[in-house]
Amino acid sequence: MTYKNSNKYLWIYPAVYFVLWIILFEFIFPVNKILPKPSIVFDSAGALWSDYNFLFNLLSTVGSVYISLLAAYFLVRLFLPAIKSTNSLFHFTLSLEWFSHYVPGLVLGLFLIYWFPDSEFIEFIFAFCTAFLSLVIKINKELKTLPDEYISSIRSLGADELFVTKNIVWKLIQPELFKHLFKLHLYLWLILIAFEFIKGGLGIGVIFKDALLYRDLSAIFLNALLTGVIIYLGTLLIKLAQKKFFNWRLN
Amino acid sequence: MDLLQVKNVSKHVEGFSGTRQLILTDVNFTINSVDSFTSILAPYGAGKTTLLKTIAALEVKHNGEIKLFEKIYDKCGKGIAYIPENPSSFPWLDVKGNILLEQKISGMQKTKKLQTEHFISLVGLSGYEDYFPANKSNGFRFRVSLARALSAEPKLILIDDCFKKMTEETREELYKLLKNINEKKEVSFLLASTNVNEVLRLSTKVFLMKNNPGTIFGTLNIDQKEIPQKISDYTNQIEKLFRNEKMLNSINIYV
Repeated sequence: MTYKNSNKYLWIYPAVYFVLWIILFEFIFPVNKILPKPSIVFDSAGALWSDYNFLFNLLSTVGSVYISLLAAYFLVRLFLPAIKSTNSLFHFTLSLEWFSHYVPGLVLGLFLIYWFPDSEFIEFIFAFCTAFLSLVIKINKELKTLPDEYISSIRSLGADELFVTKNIVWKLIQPELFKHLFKLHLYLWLILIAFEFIKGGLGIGVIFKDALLYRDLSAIFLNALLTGVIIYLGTLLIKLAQKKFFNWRLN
Repeated sequence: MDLLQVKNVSKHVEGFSGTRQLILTDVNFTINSVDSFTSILAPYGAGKTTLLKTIAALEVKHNGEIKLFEKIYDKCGKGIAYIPENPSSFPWLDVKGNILLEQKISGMQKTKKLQTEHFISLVGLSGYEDYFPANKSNGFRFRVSLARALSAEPKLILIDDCFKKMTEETREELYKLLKNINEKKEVSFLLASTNVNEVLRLSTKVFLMKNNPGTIFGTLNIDQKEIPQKISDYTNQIEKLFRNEKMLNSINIYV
């Protein structure tokens, strides 16, 4: 089995861990403070649904992650000519990139929570800003390393700058942009859970906060498990979009 | 009327440290007829790509004059198409889509749209209209780029050393294809190459170029009727000219 083919069987790992968890914590160490007993976790599903308002909290986080990701993706497409040609915007994003190396993005979230403590919409603004800036920084990097042959050949046929940017440059950056989207997707989930944990209100992070307050290990575990599944499904969805629309590689 | 006149063309590039490096100096040559096959033979790093890009108006900052049909031009798409060294057919478009893209640039004329099939068949890709070039050979991708360039109906197509990464068999096929198109269509080719054999097989005129900085130092007229019989004689002549310039080792000579 080659390394490439072994990727196909990665699902085996979580399945093995799941079975191990059941064997170890249901039968061997049913009473412990490390992980909850599987049967208790399954029983607490109802409580997670009703007491912790799982559906609304999940929808709030899922909406913030995916709507902001989609909005950021389509907006960078719209603003690509400006990103490519505006020097001041380029320097602005460069400065933000410099900051992002030393100041965690969550710090911006703290300021937003301080300024707008009661707004539910602020979470979406925070997610969108994070996604948009991350994509702009990535695009700026990619623009520096574009393969010249594609652009030269089409420009020689009379294509103007706008045509090249919209039809060629946008396509050229897709493979790397999608690689970045996978990382950004996970990053957004993490940063939003932390944001919700700090801010309160609605979201998966709020369930974690409440469950910690009540010392409810089963709820923490089940919430983490379900969040993991949702993130996995989101990754599959992005992979599907990549396969459907950008199933090619450059040289 | 001359097709292309390159007069006293010089070009500098600015390095990262702000220093100016002279890439081309006093480049002079003329392509007379509209159905010719001309080559520039030069070693690696002589500035062939820079020269072709300057002729294609992809690089506009230069000294000297470049005229197409006696007219100075400074914009792309005025009758010159450029095929770069690396494959340039777009991997996200099929063969047909690659050619139609040119027509999208020129405004989607219906009459031109009908000609897509004609250009595909001209480059020998009939039956491959719906194929995507992403995983295809360099030869396949060159044919797509050539069809796209031809669909713009240029007077001159610049080919930048495209054949060096191809197999011998593919090269032979493409040499025949280019000669065939050159005879059938009213289009000239200007090939930049490091390969003596290649330029002798294809061209009726060869400009010899040296490096540091790049300049044309000699011209050789070739009677294609004498190829391949007298290919060794022409090679010897080229060898001698490059030897005089102390640059023989830089050229890839195999016959």
